[in-house]
Amino acid sequence: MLQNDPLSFLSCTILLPSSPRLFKFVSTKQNSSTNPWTNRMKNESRYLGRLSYPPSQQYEASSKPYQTPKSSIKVFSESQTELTLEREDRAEQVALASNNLQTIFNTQTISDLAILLLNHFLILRKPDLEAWEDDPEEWNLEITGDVVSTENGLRVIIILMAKIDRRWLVNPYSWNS
Amino acid sequence: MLTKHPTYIILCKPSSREDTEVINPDQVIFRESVYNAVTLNPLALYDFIDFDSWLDTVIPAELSFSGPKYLPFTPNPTHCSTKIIRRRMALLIGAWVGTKCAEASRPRVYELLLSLLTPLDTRNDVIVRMSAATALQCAVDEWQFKPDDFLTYLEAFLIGTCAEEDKGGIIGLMAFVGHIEARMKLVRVVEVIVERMDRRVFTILSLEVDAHRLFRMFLRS
Repeated sequence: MLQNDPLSFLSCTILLPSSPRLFKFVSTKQNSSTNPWTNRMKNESRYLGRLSYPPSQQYEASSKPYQTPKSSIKVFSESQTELTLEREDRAEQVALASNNLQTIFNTQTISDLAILLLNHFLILRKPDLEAWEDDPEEWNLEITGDVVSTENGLRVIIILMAKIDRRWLVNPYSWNS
Repeated sequence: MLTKHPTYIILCKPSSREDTEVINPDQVIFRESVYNAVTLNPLALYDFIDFDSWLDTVIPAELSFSGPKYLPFTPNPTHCSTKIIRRRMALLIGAWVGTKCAEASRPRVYELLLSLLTPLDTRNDVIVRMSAATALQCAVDEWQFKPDDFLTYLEAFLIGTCAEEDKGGIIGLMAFVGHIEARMKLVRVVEVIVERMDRRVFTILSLEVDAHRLFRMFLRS
C-alpha cells in the first residue's frame, strides 16, 4: 500500500508521532545508521522539550524542527521491518500529493478556517459585553486571570479546610500530645 | 497568500474618519477579534506586519473613531463600541511594543498610550485606562527602554496633566478603581516605572507640580 498510494507517506508522517504501537522509531535523518533507539530518545526529547518552553517562546521552539527539509523518512515497524520512503526517488508522487494538499488547503478554505477560529475562540461574546457594562473592573480582572487565580487559591483553602479534621481546629496542638 | 486573506484586507484597510458607511456592530466585534489574533501572535506575524507603520496609520485610524460611527451593542447608550476597539488597541500596543518596535517609534507609543489613559476623553472608561496602564508596563519593562526618552512623559503618566486635575495618570486612576486586585495592578505599573526610571523619577519633584495636588492624589489613591 505504501508504494502504490502516493499519499500514504503523508499519512505516515502525520500518524507516526502519535502511534507508538504501530511504529517504534521515526528517524528524520537521511541514511541514518545509528542506533534507532538513541535517535528515538532524541526525537522524543525534542518534542518534550518543546513543552517546557514558556508560551511566548513556543513558536520559536516549535518552528525549528519543521524548518529543516526532510529528504527521507525511515520507519521501523514492530517486526523490525525497515521501510524507507525516499522523497527524492518519488518525485511524481510527491508532486501529486502536494497538488492534493493545495486543492484541499486553498485560499478560500484557509480563509474560512481563520474566520471560524476567530468567531469561535477569539471573539467577544454577549456575556462579555454585558459583564463589561455591569461591572467593568470585575470583568477586566476575570479576563486577565487575576480573579481566577485568587478564586483558585480560595478554593484550595476550602478543600483543605474540608479535609482537615475539625478537632484540630478546636485544639490545634492536639497532635503534640 | 496572506495578501488575499480577508483578515489581511481588514487589517490593511482601517476605517477612517472619511469613511461614511455605518459599521455593523458585528463587524466591530469581528474586527476586534482579528486584532485579538494579531495581539496573541506577534512572533508569528513578525514578518508580515510593520508595527512602526501601524503606529502611524492603523492604530490612530482606529482610535480616531467617535461614538456615532459604531452603533451601540446594548440598549444602554453609555456603552459605546469604540471602547472595545480602544481597549484592543491598548492591548495590541502592549503585545507588540516589546517584539517589534523601533526606538524612534517609542515616543509615538507613549503618545498613543497617553491618549488612551486620559480621563478627558469620554471614550476611555476604566477598562480602556487599565489596559493602557498594562500596555505601559509592557512598554517600560523591556530591554530597549530608554529612560531619557520617557522622562518627558513621566509626569503625564504618573499624575496626569493639570487639565486632568486629580483624575489623570495612573495614580489618579487608582482612586477610581474599587477592586483591590485592580489597584494592585496599578501599583505594580508604578513600581515598574519607578524601577526602570531609577533616580530620574525624582525629577518629577523638581517639576512645577503642585505639592498639595500631589499629596491629595496620593491620599485618594
